[in-house]
Amino acid sequence: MRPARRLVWALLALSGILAIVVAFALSTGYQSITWQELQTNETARTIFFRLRIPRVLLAILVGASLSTVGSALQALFRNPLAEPFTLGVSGGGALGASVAIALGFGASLGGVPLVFLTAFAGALLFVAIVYRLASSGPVFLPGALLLSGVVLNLIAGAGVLLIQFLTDYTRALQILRWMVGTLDVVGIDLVWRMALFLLPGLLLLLYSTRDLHLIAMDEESAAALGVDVRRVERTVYAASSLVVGVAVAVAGPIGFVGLIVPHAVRLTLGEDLRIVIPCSMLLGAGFLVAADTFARTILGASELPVGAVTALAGGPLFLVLLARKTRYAAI
Amino acid sequence: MTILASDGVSYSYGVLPVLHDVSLTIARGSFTGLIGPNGCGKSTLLRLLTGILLPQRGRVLYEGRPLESIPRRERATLVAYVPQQQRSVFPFTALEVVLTGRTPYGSRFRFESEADRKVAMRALDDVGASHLAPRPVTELSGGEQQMVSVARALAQSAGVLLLDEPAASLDLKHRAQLGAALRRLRVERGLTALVVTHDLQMLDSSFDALFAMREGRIVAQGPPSDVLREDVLAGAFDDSRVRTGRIGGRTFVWSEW
Repeated sequence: MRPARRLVWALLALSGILAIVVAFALSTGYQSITWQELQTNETARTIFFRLRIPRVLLAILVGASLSTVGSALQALFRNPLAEPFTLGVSGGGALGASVAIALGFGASLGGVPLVFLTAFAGALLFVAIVYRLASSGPVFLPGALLLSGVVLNLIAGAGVLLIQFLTDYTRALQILRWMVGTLDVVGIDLVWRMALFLLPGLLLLLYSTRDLHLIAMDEESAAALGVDVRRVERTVYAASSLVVGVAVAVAGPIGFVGLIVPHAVRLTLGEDLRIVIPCSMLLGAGFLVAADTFARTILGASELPVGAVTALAGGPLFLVLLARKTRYAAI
Repeated sequence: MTILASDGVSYSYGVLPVLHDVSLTIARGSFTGLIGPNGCGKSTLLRLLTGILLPQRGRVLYEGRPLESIPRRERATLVAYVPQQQRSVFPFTALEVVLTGRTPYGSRFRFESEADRKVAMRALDDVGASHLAPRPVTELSGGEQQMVSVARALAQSAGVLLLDEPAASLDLKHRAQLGAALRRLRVERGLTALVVTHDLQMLDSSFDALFAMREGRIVAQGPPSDVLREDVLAGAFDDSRVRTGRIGGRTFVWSEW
């Protein structure tokens, strides 16, 4: 099938899947809500509109964000194991966010939640460090890339732990809950505010898909074909840091979504980044809604942290991909 | 008629000087060879001529226009470049790789057209590699990947083609196949090419002009018969044991150890 048609069909199919998953997620929960109750029962209305809808929207935003950034970073670094979590970008965002949480979650700077700004700054700093450590002329050393990501995650973890230790009990608990990755949210305001920041970042990444398609093949050839490689790099770093920073600030560092989703897309739809990136966005949204619905319902009354669920699914996938060295010679 | 030229170009990586005052001209419709020992600056010169590096002194001119004044996208329709070695990490198909050669002719938000696909398939056919089109490049041999790279550059339909050691990873048969393909394109479509090579055997039969470099300077230039001489090559390669001989109308060059 021609790529343009493949993209259209894939987007239609993925939208359908997302709609089904969302419908299921909205109708499922500890308290089952029927259409009838939604009309009459005040408690049911509160649960549905104040808890369930915001939570599903948050899962859509976070899943789309992490997956889009994952597929973009894989292309940019020419490494199939790159994603916000494995490169330490999420860790940087988490460290920045916990600084803001320790200072008081509600603080804002000119209307912008402080936690967004510090998480963005942390993510940007960490991606700059990874880039510096791994780049060697026109190539990225795949070992150095992933190793520096791992160590940055450890450093961020230690930093967060230190902040938790120094801050008061309630905030420490707040950080602890959030660090595992959770989509627990009350009310829709935060979700809208988040979307306001995510949208420009995601649009920039979508705008860069053709450049990333060329860079994923070879940086020098991309330059010879008219791509301003340095500018695309800067754009993608800034956009990724913003998107991951904001997603992490609200939902915590939910790992491996940016690895699982782009790989599933590439296995079924091929390698063309102009297809992979937008499709990862849609599938990522559906995937995280599904994972979160699973996490909050499987135990009945209590819920699992969704970050633990995605990590338990994604960690082994990372190892499987690492073992398949024949297909990805550069690992 | 000169199509591409460097005019007194100098370049250094940080404090490490690579090129000193290099002037070179490529005539339209000609094949030009660039020879010289490893690390003498040939690849850097090629990147400058492509426009992906900018000279710190001097200028690169395309039909008299400074290359850096030409927008990137237009530049990509004038000069095509085949880098030395490229191995993709992701299993793109060979056709997907060749199709990227059409990028400067398309929009950011459109996929390649049917006409673009025809150009890409013809470029693959030109280097005898159309059978590779649906195969993932990660599964191709080094030689096959090189053919795909050349096809991509051909699909760019540029005025001049710059190749950095295109035959380095090719076996005898593929080497001959690539050489024959380039010569045929020159006759049929007036292809202009600059080829960096260590493959001195190929030179005199197919090239109109040769440039020899040493330590960032051009030390000899002219038709192959003027450059492929023992005294000239001994100077360029700093090797007094360089020998030349003629077999079957071709000049052969070797170093006697």
